[in-house]
Amino acid sequence: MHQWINRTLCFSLLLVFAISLAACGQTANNQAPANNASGQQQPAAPSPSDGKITVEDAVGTVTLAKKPERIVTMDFSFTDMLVTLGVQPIGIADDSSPDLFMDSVKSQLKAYTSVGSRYEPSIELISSLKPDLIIVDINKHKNALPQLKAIAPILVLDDFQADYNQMLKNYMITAKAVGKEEEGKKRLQEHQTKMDAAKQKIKSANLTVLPAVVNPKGFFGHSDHSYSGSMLKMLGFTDPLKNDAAYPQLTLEQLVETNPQALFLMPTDKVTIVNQWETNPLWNKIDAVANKKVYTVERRDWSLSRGMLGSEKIADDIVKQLGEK
Amino acid sequence: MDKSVRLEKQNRTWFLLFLFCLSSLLLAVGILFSLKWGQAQVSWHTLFEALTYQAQEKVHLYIQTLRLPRTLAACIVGIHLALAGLLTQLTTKNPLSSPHVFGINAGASLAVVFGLVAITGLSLLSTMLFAFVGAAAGALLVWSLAGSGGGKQYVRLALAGITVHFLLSSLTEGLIILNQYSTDSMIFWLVGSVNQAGWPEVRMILPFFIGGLLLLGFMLPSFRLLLIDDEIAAGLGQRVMLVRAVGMLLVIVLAGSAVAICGPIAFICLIVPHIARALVGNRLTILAPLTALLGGILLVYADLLSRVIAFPFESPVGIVTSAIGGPFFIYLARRKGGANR
Repeated sequence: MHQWINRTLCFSLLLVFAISLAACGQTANNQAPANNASGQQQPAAPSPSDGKITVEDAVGTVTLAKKPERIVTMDFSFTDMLVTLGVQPIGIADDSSPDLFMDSVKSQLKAYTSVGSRYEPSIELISSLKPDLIIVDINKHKNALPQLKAIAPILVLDDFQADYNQMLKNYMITAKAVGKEEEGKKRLQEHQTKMDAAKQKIKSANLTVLPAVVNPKGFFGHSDHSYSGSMLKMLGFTDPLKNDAAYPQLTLEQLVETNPQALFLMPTDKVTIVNQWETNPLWNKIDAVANKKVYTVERRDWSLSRGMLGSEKIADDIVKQLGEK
Repeated sequence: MDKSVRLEKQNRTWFLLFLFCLSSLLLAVGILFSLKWGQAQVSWHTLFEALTYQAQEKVHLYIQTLRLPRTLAACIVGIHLALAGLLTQLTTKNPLSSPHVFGINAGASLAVVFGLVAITGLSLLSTMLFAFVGAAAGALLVWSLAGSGGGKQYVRLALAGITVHFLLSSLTEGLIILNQYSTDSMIFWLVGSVNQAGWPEVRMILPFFIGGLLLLGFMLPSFRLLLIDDEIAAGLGQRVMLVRAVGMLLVIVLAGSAVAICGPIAFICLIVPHIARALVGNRLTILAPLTALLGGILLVYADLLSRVIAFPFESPVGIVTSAIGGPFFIYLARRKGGANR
């Protein structure tokens, strides 16, 4: 009798845990239709000339027999790059939440299959898509490289740790790999013009500006080794952190000591650590706060979509807040 | 003969007095340095001004609003964890056990991470509640798995505890992986860190601190029962089960509130009671206060160290306690295996 009660108790406790876990994991099976069905459909027209593509990526030379048509991207940045080249990826590791796309990227995306988390993508799903190119990050997907290689040719880019200049290089590598080098060059030119225009509008660039991701438990400053930090540097601002790490976690004391003159906050949740810090009198001692130069921007624009559209949106945001009217 | 016994007793009293004075001094020095040392330079004079609330400049505010609550939190959490460890070792009659091996820390962590993921903007009070529920559920799971009665109960408890600990930890990790983008810094928290603790946290844990200590002091004579064999205690007409239940309740309150504030800080619960026992032996009325004092000391110094390792950036204090605790645990396990019995 006693034993029986005990067992039931254990079992129900375990069940509760399992259910609660499942409830959290259940993150929207998004716009997945259509593509799975068309698995057999072969790309119709082989590309002109001999069609062979050779490109240097972060680890070596990638040779593709023909222009890739079924591309799987393993991060938001690659997706941003592809849509500006007029290429539609068939599978994307989007952390199963399409909300993390920038609006301008999402509007250009047609139906795709989510292959799950960017950190732990589903190899099986990727394989079922029968891709002919997978674009991956050299750090984030290190462990999955052999498995992915067995599915399709992979293009390995130094993306996650990349700064702005590296992103531009990655853009051209990607363009070449998908057989759109000309389009890429043209788009890059366009991008440069936009950036120059942005620089023109920012006259008061002698500010120290700190972009930072804030979540409920921490404040992560982005130094000029990070992507958004290097953008600010490119536009002429100074990085107040002066640190080798790209995303150091700061305490309030460090932030006050760092004393940036403008802050761009990228919150991950509605309520973050900043709400707590604002109640501390020290918060008002930061120059950025005193000068009312604390701006909230979208993390998906500033930190996730590391491509042409993303960086142009960053420049827009900065010009809007700190540029000459 | 009589004289020598008295002399010995007197010596012992002096020794204990000396020991308590020394530990109090160490704690005071640790707290002082913890207040002085940080990313910003603070002079002794400014420190004095800040502590007497004479000024509200930037530097003073660092101490008043950040370093002081943080240090107090470290001290209180250290005391909580050390006492929780002592109590678990008593109630389970296993010198190597700690709330970790009891599913309590893992349960509390799982509940807190679950709360943070499921509810945006979880308030401090609900974090605390989540931690308690999780700690209690973890402990309940272990107890029910181990079953009651029988001579092998203590072994079964340890095995069930380890199993549940791993089960719950893996669930926590699963939660974190599934919600990666919102949980980046939770890993920091999971290693254990006091750097977020401000006045609200201190105010939140204070009632549990005072209540816990009072209950512990009140129950201390009864806890002595746990040192002797269950059969003998039962034979003496004592309610062993009741005493143990109160002990476990205290562990849940102490460890749960500590985890809610700082995450599961490893090894303090395990090693501090052993250090204290090695110094003063098994007399609970002396052992318990010394354990508490040493727990506070250890965490305050570990926190200080965690700020130095990657200066000017912070490391989770759990790394420091693990680095100290790991080798100590191996030493304990080997010594018990070799010398005893």
